[in-house]
Amino acid sequence: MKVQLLFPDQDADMTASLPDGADDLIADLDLGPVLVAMRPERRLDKLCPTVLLNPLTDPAQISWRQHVLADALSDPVDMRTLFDLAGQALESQNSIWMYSGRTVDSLRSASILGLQALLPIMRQLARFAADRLPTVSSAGLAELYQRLIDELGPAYLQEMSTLLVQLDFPEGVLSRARLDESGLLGSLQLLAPRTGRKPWWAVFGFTPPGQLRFTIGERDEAGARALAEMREDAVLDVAATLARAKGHVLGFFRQLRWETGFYVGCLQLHELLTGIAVPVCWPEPASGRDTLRTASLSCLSMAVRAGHAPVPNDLAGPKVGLGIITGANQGGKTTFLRSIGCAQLLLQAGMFVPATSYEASLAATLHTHFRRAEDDDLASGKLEEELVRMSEIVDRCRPGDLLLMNESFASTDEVEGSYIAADIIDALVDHGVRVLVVTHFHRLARHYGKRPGTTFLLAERLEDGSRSHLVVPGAPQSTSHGMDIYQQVFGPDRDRSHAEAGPGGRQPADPENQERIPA
Amino acid sequence: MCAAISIPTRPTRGSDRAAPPGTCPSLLSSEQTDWSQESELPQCLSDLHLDDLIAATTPGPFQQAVWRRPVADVRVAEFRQDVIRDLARPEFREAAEIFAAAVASARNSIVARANAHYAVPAELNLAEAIRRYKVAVGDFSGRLSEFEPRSGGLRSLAAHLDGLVHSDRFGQLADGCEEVLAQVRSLSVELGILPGTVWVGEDAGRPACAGEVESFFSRFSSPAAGPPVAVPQRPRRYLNHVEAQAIELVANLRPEPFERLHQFVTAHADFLTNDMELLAEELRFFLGFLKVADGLGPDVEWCMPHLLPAGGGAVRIDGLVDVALALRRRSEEQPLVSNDLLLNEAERIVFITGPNQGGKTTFVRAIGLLAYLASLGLPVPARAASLPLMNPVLTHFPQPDDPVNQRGGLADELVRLHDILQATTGASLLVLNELFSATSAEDALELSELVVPQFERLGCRVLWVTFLEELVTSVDGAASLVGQVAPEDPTRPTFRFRPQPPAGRSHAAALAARHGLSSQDLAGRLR
Repeated sequence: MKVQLLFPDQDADMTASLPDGADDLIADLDLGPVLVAMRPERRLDKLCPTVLLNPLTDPAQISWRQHVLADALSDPVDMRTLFDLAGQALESQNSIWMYSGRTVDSLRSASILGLQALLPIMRQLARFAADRLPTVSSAGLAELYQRLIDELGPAYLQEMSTLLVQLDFPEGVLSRARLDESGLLGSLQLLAPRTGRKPWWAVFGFTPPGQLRFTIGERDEAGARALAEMREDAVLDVAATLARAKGHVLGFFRQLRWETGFYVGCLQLHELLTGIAVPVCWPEPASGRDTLRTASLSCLSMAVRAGHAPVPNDLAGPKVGLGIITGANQGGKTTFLRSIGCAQLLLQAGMFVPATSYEASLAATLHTHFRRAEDDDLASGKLEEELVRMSEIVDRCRPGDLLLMNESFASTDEVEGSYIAADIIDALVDHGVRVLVVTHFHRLARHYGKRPGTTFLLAERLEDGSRSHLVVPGAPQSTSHGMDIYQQVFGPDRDRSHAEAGPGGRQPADPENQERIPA
Repeated sequence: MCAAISIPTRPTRGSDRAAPPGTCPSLLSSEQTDWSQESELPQCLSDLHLDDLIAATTPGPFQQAVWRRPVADVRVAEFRQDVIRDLARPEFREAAEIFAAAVASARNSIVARANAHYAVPAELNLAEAIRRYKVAVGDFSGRLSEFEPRSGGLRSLAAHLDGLVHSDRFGQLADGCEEVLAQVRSLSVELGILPGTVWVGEDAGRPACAGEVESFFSRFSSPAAGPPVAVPQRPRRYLNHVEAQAIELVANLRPEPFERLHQFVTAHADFLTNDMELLAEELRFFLGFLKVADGLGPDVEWCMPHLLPAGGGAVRIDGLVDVALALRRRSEEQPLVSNDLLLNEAERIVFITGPNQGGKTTFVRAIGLLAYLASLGLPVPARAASLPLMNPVLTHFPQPDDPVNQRGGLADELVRLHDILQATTGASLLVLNELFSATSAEDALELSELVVPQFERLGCRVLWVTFLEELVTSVDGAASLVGQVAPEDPTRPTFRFRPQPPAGRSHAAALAARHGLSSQDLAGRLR
C-alpha cells in the first residue's frame, strides 16, 4: 500500500542519501536553522534535508506537492492527525521488545503481537479517511484516503484478527511432508490450521483413524530438541512470511510518518514566516532555460535565523545565464545569493517561497562554492582547499545546474584569483551551467563586461555611504580611490586599455588591482 | 584407539606389474604401485614449508603417501604431468570432483547402514548414495569419451569406465535405484507435531498455509518496506532417533515401496568396488593440489616444468614465486616478488648472499619446493621452468635450540649435515641455509672449505645461503647470486636476486648512515 503524498507515482525513498556537496550547500546557504525549524520531530532529522536537497525537476511533481501542501495549509489539523496516527502505530511496537526474533517461535510471536497492536490503529485510520475524504481537493490526499478506505475495510481487518489467532497454533502444527533428498521427512509445508470443533476422538485423546504416532520419553531431552527442530522447520516459512507482512504494514506507517512529516514541517515553517510578516507565494517553474525573476524575495535562512523580516530584493530577469554581483562590503550580496539558493530549493521541493513572486528554470542540482571563514583552515592550504571543492563541483556539474559562487578564490590575490575563476566560469557557462557570482575582484567582473547575456547586479551604497541592503542592476564600480588618483595623474585613456586586457593579461603592475592607495 | 591406515589396493597378480585386465588403470603411474607400503616423511618437509602446502590440500592417508614419494623416473613424472593437464580442463575437472565426492559419500553410507539402528532411514540414505554414484560415474565416463583426453592415464581410464557403464550390472544398478527412490519419494503424508508426540497420516489435500498468509497481506507489500526481515536460519535437521522414528512411521503407513527399497540395497550391497575407491583417492590427490593452486590467486603463475633426466642438465626458471609465502599471505595484501634462476650444467654449487631480511631464505625455499613439486610430476609456481629431476631434495636450515638435544649447536649441525650427505646422490638438490652459523666466521670458512670437495665429488646441486663472502670467491666454478637493494634507497631490499659477485658491505654502510652510525658520523659523535 502506497502513501504517495510526495510523488504522484511512487513513495518517497526514505533511505535516499543526500547528494554529494549537500553539506557544503547546508553550510553555505545557512540552512541549519531552517532544517531545525522544519523538523517535525527529533527522530525525523533526516527527513527535511532528504526532501529539500533532492530537488524535483518535473513540474508535474512540483504541482502534486503544491496541491497537497495547499490542502494542509487550509486544514493543518488533518495533516497533523495523519502524522500522529502514523506515530502511534510505530510506538505501538515498543511493547513487544522482549521477543528477539532470533528463534522461529519468537519471530512468529513477535510478528503476531506486532500486527495485533497495529489493528486498532488501522481501524482508526480507515475511519478517519472515510470522514475526511470529502474535505480535500488535492489528488494526493484524496487518493490516499480512498486507498485507506478500500484496503482497510472492516471485513478485512476482522479476518486479519482471526487469522492471527489461528497462527498461534494452539492445536499443534500440521504440515505436509515428503521423504526428500536429505533422507528425512522434509519439504515441510505448513497446512492451514483446523478450525471449528474438535472431533470426538481428539477430545478423548485417541489416535484418529489412519494415523500412526509415537511419543518421546519424558526425560528425552535430545528427543525434545529434535522435535523442536522439526517443528521450527515446519513453521519457519510462515513465521518469515508473517514477519515480512508485519514489516510491510509497519513500512506503510513509517512511510506515512515520513511523508506527512514533511508537510508538517512545511506547516511549521509557514507559521514561522507568517508570524514575522514575511509574504509567501507559490513559485512557478519556468519551462525554458535560464529564467530567473522574482519580486520581494526574502532570504529564508536569514529570516529564520534573525527572527524578523529581512530586506526583500527584486530581480527583473527574465533570463540570467551568468550573473555577476559586485558592490559594497556588508551590502547584502551574500544574503542575496543565499535568498536565490533557498528559493530555488523551496521551489524544487514543491513548497512556497518567501516572495511575492518567483519564477525560475529548474536545475537538476544546486551547487555552492562559498568562501570559507578565515579561521577554517591553515592559511597555506586555503587555496588548495578551495580548488579541491571546486574540482568536486566541476565533477558533478551538468548542463542546467545552478552554481552560486561567493567570493571564490579570494584566498589568493586578485590576479591569480580572477584568472582561476574566469577559466572555471567560462568553462561552466559554455557547458550550460547557470552561474551567479559574488565577487570583489574588479578584474574578474570586467572580464565579463562585454559578454552578451551577462546580468550585472550591484549591492547598493547610498550617497552617504550607508547600505540599503538592496541588490540592484548595475555594472561593477571601482571602489578603489587609488584608481581615481591614478586617473587624475595619467588621464582616463589608460583605463580603457587595461579594462580590455582582462584577467588573462597577467600584467603584474596593473595598479587597478591594488586596493590600497599608492603613497 | 589407533586405527591402521587403510588404503585400498588393487589386486596384484604375482610379479605382473601392469594393471590386470578388468581392473581400473592407475592415474599416478602406468605401472602398479603399492601405496600401502610405509613411506618416511621427506627430510625437507618442514624446512621448505612443504607441510603447509600438503595440509592445504586436505589429504587423507592415501594422498599423504603420494606426497611423500617423489618419483625418480622422468617417464612417471611426465605420465602424471599429462594427467594433470587433462584434469585441469574444466570439462574433466568438475566431473572428476563430483565422482570423487560421490565415492566418498557412498563409502560413508555403506558404513552407516552397517551400523544403523533404524533400518529404513539407512537404506534410504544408501539408495541415494548409489544414485549419486551412478550419476557421477556416468557423467565422468561421458565427459571422458566426449572430450578425448590426451594423457595415457585418462585414455585408459576412459576405456575402462566406458566398459563399466555399459555393463549389465551397472545398468541394473542405475535403473533400480531411480525406480525405488521415485516410489518412496512420491509418497506425501501429513505430519503432525504436538508437544512430545509426532503423528503421520494420509495426505488429505489440505491447502498450504504460507501462501495464504502471503496473499492475505499482499496489499501492504511495497519495495520500500524498510530493512529486510532477519529470518532465523532454517534448523539443520539431521538423522536422529526422532527423525528416524518418523520415517519408520511412514514405512509402516505405506509398506510396499519400502520393501522394494530393502530388496534393492540388499541385492547391490557390493556396488562400490575397490578399484573405484582407489581411483577416487588418486583423483583426490590431483584435485586437492589443483584447488590449492587456484586458491593462491592470479599472481601465482603455474607451469608444467620441462624435465630433464636426473643427474645433469641446465636449470632455467622464470618468474618463480614462493608458494609457502603465498599460502600464508592469503589474508594479507603483500605482493609476491618473482625471481629467475639460470644455471648451466657445470654450475653445481650456487651461493646466495645479500642483505639481511632480503629474502634469501624465501628464494632458496621456493627453488627447493619447486624441485620437490617437479619430482612429484606436479605443476610448479613459475612462469616457465626447465630442470633435471632432482630427487631427493635435502635441506639444512638453522634449527631452534632443542633442550632435548644434548649436543651443542655446531655438533648438531654437523650431525645433520652428515646424515644429509649419506642420503645425497648425484641427482640430489641440497639447500643449505646459513650452514655453520653456530660457530665463528673463521671456523665456518674452514669447515666449509672441507665440505665443498665432498659436494663436488657427489656431483649434486647445492644452493648455499651464506654470509661468508670469502667462501663465495674461493670456490672455483660456483655461481653467485646476490640479493638486490633499491637503487634510490640502499637500505630497502627488493627481494630480487641477480648473478653477480658478492656485493660487499655497501648495504650495511647505508643502513648505518641512516642511523647516524657511518664511520664519519661515529668519528664526529665519539669525539
